[in-house]
Amino acid sequence: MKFQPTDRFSISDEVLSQEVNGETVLLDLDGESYFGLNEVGTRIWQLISAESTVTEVLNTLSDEYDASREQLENDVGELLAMLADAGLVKRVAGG
Amino acid sequence: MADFYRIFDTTLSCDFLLPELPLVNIEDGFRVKPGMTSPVAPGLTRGPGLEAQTLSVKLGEGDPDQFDSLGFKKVFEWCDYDGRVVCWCERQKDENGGDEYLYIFARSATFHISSEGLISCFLREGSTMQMLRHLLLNQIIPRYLATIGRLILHASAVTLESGKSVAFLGNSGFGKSTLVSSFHRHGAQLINDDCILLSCSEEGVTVIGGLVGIRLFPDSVNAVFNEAAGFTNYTPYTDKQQLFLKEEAGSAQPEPCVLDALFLLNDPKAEPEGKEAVDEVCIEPVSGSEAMMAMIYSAFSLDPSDKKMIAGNFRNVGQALGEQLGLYSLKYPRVHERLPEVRAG
Repeated sequence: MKFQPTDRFSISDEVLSQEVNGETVLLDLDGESYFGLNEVGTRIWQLISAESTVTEVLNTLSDEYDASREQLENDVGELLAMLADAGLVKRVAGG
Repeated sequence: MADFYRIFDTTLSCDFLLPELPLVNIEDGFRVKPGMTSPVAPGLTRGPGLEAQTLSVKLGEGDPDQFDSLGFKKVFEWCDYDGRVVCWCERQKDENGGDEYLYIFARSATFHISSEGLISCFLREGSTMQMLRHLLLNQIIPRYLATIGRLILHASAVTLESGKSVAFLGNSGFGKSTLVSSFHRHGAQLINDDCILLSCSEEGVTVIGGLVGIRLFPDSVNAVFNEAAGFTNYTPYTDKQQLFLKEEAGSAQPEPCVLDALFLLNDPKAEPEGKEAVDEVCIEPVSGSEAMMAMIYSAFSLDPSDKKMIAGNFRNVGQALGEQLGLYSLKYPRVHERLPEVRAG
């Protein structure tokens, strides 16, 4: 994972999010693109919206899902990288 | 002199006749002295029954191209299936900093929409008032209402005999009008065949239609109604014909009713390759995100490139989907003889 355990993420001012039936739709007004998050993606989005660190996201997901830590690190890292690449979030380096 | 009409849940004043719309019974809704006439500015004193704002429509004076020398800039254009531009939207700031718009239908009409909701209509040479009214009622007013925060979808809706109201979402040609016509022909009350307004209330999502009419291609007219009585051609640009349901349009002002379910219609032309065409009526739940995207793409907007409007529709759709609303996909064979099976589903 290319993120540090203490990193947090800030959500772009141009991004609107809406939860619908356990899923989330994101609208990036800068370019008018829409993105969909499934149930787990929605949980990760909730956590980074609440300014959780990467470690805190992983700890929460470990409690809530029956998955190995390695699996969670891979999945969380992949989603965060996609969100950052799409310009939806910015990494805020932890102190 | 203007008359008052009702479209969706909004009252409008118009200085030319709109036979497609029910007249508002002023005594029911307005605290207006008998004999009071237009001009009616938004903000007119209203009675308790009318909460939505009014808007004003008038026939503009002078050349439809009189705005050419002003500072309007094109922001969006619409093309037909052959790629020809049929309409475009221009926008500029007025002297008070508000947005004013021009909608230009090159062959038919120009509409000027002030930031205060005054719509001026200019008929182009060779076109007809029927065409102008068609564009005003089915395009300009729904798009304007979306601009002031209302959620208006390109969708059809009926209230079934069971009392449940359902809406059908799909692009032009997906069968929305044919489907609700078939329901209507068999006892359901038509809400609208093409354009609906959704609101959130204490009871849930409510739906109300604009003008009560049906527009169908001749084959559907014949198949659903067995005859073409009452249907007329309304524009030279399509074979579609329309029927106004006078008995419903002329009845008491339509009230919003709770919407129980939303169906996304399948694209009848997009059959999966190598598979049999859809041969059965198939109703399945759809995910919230799928329904949300379908609603966003169906939502009317005056300037679809405007971030404020994009964000407004996104929030409105999200709010509507936060309510109790059944979300389904509906696939069915597009054969008129099979419509009874769809209704049964």
